[in-house]
Amino acid sequence: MLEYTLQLLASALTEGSIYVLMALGLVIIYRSTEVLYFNQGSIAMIGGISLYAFLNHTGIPLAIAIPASLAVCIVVALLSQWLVVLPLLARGVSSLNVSIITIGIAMILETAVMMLFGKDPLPVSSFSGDDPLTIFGASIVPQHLWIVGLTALALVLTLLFFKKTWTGRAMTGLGDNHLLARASGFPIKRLFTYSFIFAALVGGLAGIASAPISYTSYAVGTRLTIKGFVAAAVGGMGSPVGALVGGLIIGFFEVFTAGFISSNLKDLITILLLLLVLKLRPEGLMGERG
Amino acid sequence: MGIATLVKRRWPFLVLAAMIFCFPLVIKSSFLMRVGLVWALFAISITGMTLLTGHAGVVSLGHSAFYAFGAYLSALLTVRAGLNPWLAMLIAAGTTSVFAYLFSVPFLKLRRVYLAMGTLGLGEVVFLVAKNTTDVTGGVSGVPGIPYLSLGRFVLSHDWQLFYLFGIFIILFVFLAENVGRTRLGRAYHAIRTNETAASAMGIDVQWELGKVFCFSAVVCAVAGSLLAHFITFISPESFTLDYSFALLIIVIIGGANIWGTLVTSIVLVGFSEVFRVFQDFSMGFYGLLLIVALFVFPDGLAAVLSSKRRGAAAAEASPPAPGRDTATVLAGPRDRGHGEGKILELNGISKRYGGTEALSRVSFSVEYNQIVGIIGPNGAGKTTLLNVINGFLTPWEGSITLAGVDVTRKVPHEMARMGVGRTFQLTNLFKGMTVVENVMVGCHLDGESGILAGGLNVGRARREEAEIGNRAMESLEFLGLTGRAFDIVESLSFGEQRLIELGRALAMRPELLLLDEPAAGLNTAEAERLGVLLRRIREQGVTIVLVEHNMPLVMSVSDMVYVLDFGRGIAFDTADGVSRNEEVIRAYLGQEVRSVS
Repeated sequence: MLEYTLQLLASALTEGSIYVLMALGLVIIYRSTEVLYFNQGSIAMIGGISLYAFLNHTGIPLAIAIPASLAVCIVVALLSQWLVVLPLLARGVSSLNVSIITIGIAMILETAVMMLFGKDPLPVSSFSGDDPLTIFGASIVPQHLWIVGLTALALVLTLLFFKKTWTGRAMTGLGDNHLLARASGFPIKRLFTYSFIFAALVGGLAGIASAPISYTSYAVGTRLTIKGFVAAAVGGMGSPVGALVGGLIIGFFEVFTAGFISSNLKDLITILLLLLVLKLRPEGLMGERG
Repeated sequence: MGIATLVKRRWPFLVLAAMIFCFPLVIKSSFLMRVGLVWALFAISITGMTLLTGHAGVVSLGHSAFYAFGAYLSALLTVRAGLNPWLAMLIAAGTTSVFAYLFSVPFLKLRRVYLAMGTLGLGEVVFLVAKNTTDVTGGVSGVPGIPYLSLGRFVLSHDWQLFYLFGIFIILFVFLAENVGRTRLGRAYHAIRTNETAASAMGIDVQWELGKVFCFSAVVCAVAGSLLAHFITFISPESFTLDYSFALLIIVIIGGANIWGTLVTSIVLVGFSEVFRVFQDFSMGFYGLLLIVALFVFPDGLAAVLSSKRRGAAAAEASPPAPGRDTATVLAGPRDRGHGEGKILELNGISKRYGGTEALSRVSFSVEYNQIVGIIGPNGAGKTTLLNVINGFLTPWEGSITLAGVDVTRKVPHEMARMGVGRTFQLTNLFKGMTVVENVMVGCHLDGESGILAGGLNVGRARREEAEIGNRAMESLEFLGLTGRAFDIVESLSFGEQRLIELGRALAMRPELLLLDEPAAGLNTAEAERLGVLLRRIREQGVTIVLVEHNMPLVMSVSDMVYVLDFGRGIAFDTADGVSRNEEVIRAYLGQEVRSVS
C-alpha cells in the first residue's frame, strides 16, 4: 500500500509539474495582456512535435534538439503575437474576444501540424533510457525525474527573473496596473514580447518533457490548454505562485482519484474542484482579494 | 402599419422565411437536407448567444452544457419516463432556465473572465457526466430510441417536416432576438458591454439583466438540444463537446451585435464545413482562419457593417413631440415624485478609507430641494470620491446618507438611479458605437419595464414604451440644441458636444437630484458660460444639482451654497460670497487658484 501510494505520489508530481508549466505560461500572458491564451497548448504541442522531428528526421543529438525545439516554440508564439494578438488589441478588440481568437490560432496550428505529420501519435524516446529506478520501493521511470527536475529548475529561474531583474519586475508591475504602467512610460510592447517568449519557453518545455511519456500528436494541445487553465484558475490567475500551487493540486487530485477511485472520474473531479474554487474563492487559492 | 412599411422594415424576415420555405422544395439530396437541419440547430442556438455575447459582451465557453441539458433531459424523459416529447422539451427548457440562472448569478458579480472560466468548467463537467454515468445516460453508447415529435397523430419523422418545424423555431427566436437587440434591452446590453459603470448609473441592474439574458440564451440552446434529440432519435456525448461551444462562440463573435450578422456567419461556417466534408480534417483550420480574418476586417463583427446608419431613428420618429409642448417642462418634471420641501440630501459624518489613507473624513452637509450646491477643493481633495459615495459606487466606511428622508447609505448605483439620482462623470463615459439619441435613450432605461419576452415579441406595451423613450430622448436633445446630431455615432462628436450629451443622458433620467462631476472640464469660456445658463434652466424645472467643478466663475455664479473639501475634510459650507471670503478656504484652495490663473 505504501509503495503504491509512493508510486502515485511520483506520478502526481510528474503530472502536476506539466500542469504547473502550462499554467505558468497562461498566467504570465494573462497578467501582461489580459488575454486567455488558448493557443498555449498548441505551443506545447509544437515543442513535442519539433523534438520528434529533430530527433527522427535530422539525427542531431538530444542536447541540441531540445533548445532547437524551444526556439521553434518561441518563433511560433511571437508570430502569433505580432501577426494576430497585438494588432487586434490595438484595433480595440476586447481582450475576451482576442482570447477567443487565440482558439482560432490553435485550430490553424493544429491543422497545419496534422497536414505535415499526420494524425497518428508519434513516439519520442526518453531523455535517458526507460529502465525504472527504485526509490523507497516505488519504481520510477527516469523521464519522470527529468520532468520534475526541469520544472523545478524553470520555477527557480522564473522566480529569480521576476524578483531580481528589471524586466521581470516591470512585467509584474504591468500585471498589477495596466493604466499606470502605460502612463509611466513602460515599454509595453517589449514587455508583451517578453511575456510571449517566456510563455513559449515554459509551454514548449511542458510539451518537450512530456512527449516521451505520453507520445505526441497534433491533438495533444487542447487537453494541455484546458488543464493549464484549470490549474491557473484554481491557484489564481494573478501570480506565478498560483500556477505552482494550482498545477500541483490538479496533478494530485487527478492521479489520486484515478489511483484510489476510478480513472473515469479523474477529469470530473478536477473540473468540479475548479467550479468549487470559482464559487468560493474566485480569485484563486493564491490570488489576492479585492 | 401598411404592408409597404412592413416590407420595408421587416424585409430580412421575409427573405429568411422564403429561404426556409424553399429549401426543402429545391434541395433533393438527402445529404444536403441533413446539412440544412444541422444548420437550423446552430441558427436556433445562436439567437440567444447573439444577445449574450454579441450585444452584452459576455463570453461563455460552455453553452454546449445547455445544449446537452436539453437533449438529455428530453431523451431521458421520453425514453425512460414515457413522457410526451413536447412536454419533455418544456420541462427541459424550464429546468435549464432555473439551473442557468442559479449558475450564472455568483459569476456576474465578478469580472467577466471568471464567467468564461466557469462556463468552460461547466461544459466539461456536463460532457464528462454524460460520458461516465453509464447507468443514467448510457455513457458513450448514448440514449437510443428517442421518439419523434408529433402534432396530434402526425409524426414529424421526415427531414423536410423537421426542417419546417426547426424553421418555425428559427423565425420565432430570430424575431425575438432582433426586437430585443434593437430596443430598450438591447441598448442596455450595449451599454453594459461598452461601459458598465455608466450603465449602472443609468439605473440598469447589470447583474439582473445579464442573469436574465444568460438564462434566455441557455434556454434557447436547451430547446435546440431537445430538437436534436427528437430529430436524430439517438444522442451520445460526442455532440456536446467543447467544440460545439467554440463553434457557437466563433459564429457569434464574427457576427457581432446583430442577429443577421450571426445568421449569415452561421450559414457560411456550417455550409462550408459540411459541404466540403471531404476536407473535414481541415475544417477546424478553416474556422480558425475565418475567425482571424473576419476580426481583422470587422473588429466589431459583421454587425458594424449591417447595422442601419440611423439607429434609434425608428423609435424617435414613431411619435414626434406634440406641437407647442414646452420641452423643458416635460424634460425636467421628476417622474411621479412630488416636490419636497426642506432637505433632499443629507450627509452625516461620511468617512471613506483606502488602505491607510483617509479619502473622506467625517463629511457632513445637506442640500435643500431646488438648490445648486457646488463642491470645490484642490485636486485629490476627495470630490469625485464624495460623488461616488453619494451615488452608491462606493460604500462609506462610516456615516450615513439620507435621500428625501430615506436612508440610502448602502444603496447601489442602479437603485440610486431609480430613486431619482442622475449622474455625469469626470471623464466622458458615453456608450461607444451607439448613436447620440441611443445614448440618451439609455438614460430613459427606467421608463420601460418590458423584459425579454415582451420586448422580443414587440407587444403593444413594449412598443409604446419604445416610442415614449424615443420621444423623451429627442426632447432632451432639443433642450441641449443637439437635435441635428441625433443619429451620428457619439465618437464622431466634438469633446464639448460629448459633455453635453452626457448631461442630456442624465437629464433623460428625469432626476430629482443631479450629480455633475466637472461638467465644464475641457470646455472653452463660451461653452462654460452656456453650461451655466443650462444649469440654471435645469434648476428652474425643479431639479436639485450637486456640482463638482474647478471652473470658479461657473461655480460661484450658479451655486446657492458651496462646500469646500481639503484632504477629505470639509473646511467650509457657505454661500459663494461667504466662501470666497473665508480665510481657510483662501489659504487651502482659492489663493492657490488665483496664483495659478495669474
